[in-house]
Amino acid sequence: MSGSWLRTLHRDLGFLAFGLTVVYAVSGVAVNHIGTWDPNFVREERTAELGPQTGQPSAVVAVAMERLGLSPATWSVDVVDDTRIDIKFKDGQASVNPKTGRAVARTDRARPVLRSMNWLHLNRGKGGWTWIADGYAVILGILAISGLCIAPVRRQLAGRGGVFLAIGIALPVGWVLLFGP
Amino acid sequence: MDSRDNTPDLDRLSRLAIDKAASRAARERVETRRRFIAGLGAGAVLTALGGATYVVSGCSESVEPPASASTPRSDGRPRIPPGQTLIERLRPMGKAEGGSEWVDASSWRLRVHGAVKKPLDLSLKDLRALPQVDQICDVHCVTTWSVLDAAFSGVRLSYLADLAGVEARAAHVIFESDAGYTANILLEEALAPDVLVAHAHDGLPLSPANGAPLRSIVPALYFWKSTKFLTGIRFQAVDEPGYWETRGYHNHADPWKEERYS
Repeated sequence: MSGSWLRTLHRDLGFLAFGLTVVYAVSGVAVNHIGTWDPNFVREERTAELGPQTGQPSAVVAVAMERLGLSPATWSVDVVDDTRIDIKFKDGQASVNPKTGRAVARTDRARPVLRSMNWLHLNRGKGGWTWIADGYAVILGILAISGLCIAPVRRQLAGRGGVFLAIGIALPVGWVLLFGP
Repeated sequence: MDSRDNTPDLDRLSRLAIDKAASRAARERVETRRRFIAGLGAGAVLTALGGATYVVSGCSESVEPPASASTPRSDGRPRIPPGQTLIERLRPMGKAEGGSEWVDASSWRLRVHGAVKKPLDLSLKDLRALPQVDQICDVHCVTTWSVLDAAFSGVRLSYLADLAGVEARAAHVIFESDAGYTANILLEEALAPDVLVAHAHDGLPLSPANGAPLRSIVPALYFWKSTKFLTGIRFQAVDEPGYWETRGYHNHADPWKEERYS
């Protein structure tokens, strides 16, 4: 099995798979290390001591946001009771206790590119993306097989190519045998 | 268990949150937990004095959670289930299926319905008016990470079940979420004292990535059962595998049995 059609198929599928390969590769590394960093968000926590506040909730919130160094375009205020006012804004939440004057805030700013890649990689969107991801998997399979069947590559299987091929197969198989379920 | 509670203790939980942010090293995290445990004692005293705070230690009903990750739980099981790796805090993988980035909490409704005598339709304000619980518990994700001492505030699901009057034929609970996501658990597990409908995490309202404005918390099962963007709790006689359960995930999801996939 050889011929220019096979090389053309291999090359064109390679072009087609480029974008998705970058997405899955980058996201794969990012998500693999979730134990040591957050691949989706950058978190920041702030606290401020305002002193006891006696004004209206809106005024207390204004003071708290200023002291917390937060200036979102809009926010919503939820007066839970006389010891707690919750504030929600894009990328974060804050809360202030008017009686003690303690204000805390937490923001989770998304890493826009990585978060989108992870969203795609983990198929969080479902729907049509499932089919695209399945198609990508099929393309990878065709790339792997067609790559071995292209004439110049096929000739190398008896030498160096065969060694690398064996290593590539032995790695997952060996890992499962040693550490697998 | 006593449940004389009302609003979460913001100051204490926020101190916990800030403490945790400031102390990244594991040793310091232990110290943070110990400070919080000291707070638990204070909470117990407040409760004894008719105060406003009640604290449950989460995954087990013991007053004090295990002091360290290597200390077994009160039920004898290891604190960290097999195959899990500790991380410092929840790391949501973006919004859940269909979850909104910016939710209007004022119009959010939670339905408690199905096999109940008095269906409930609660606003967030209604929910906050019910007895509140501040809970420290461990979280175990099916993707192999675990977080110890996660703080959540909310209402016990068992309290909502009592309010609604669950019928004798009910045996399963289905959590319903924004955009049609569901997760199923057994009724007896849903009524455990550490199962919450939570509106706050680490002393602050839930973030959108963590399921704002409401999510269920089921510490005894893998975290996908703790449904984000909770809109309904349905009691029913027959089981109904949910979103992930119909896509290859285990129907039960016990972390100590590694019930990850079916």
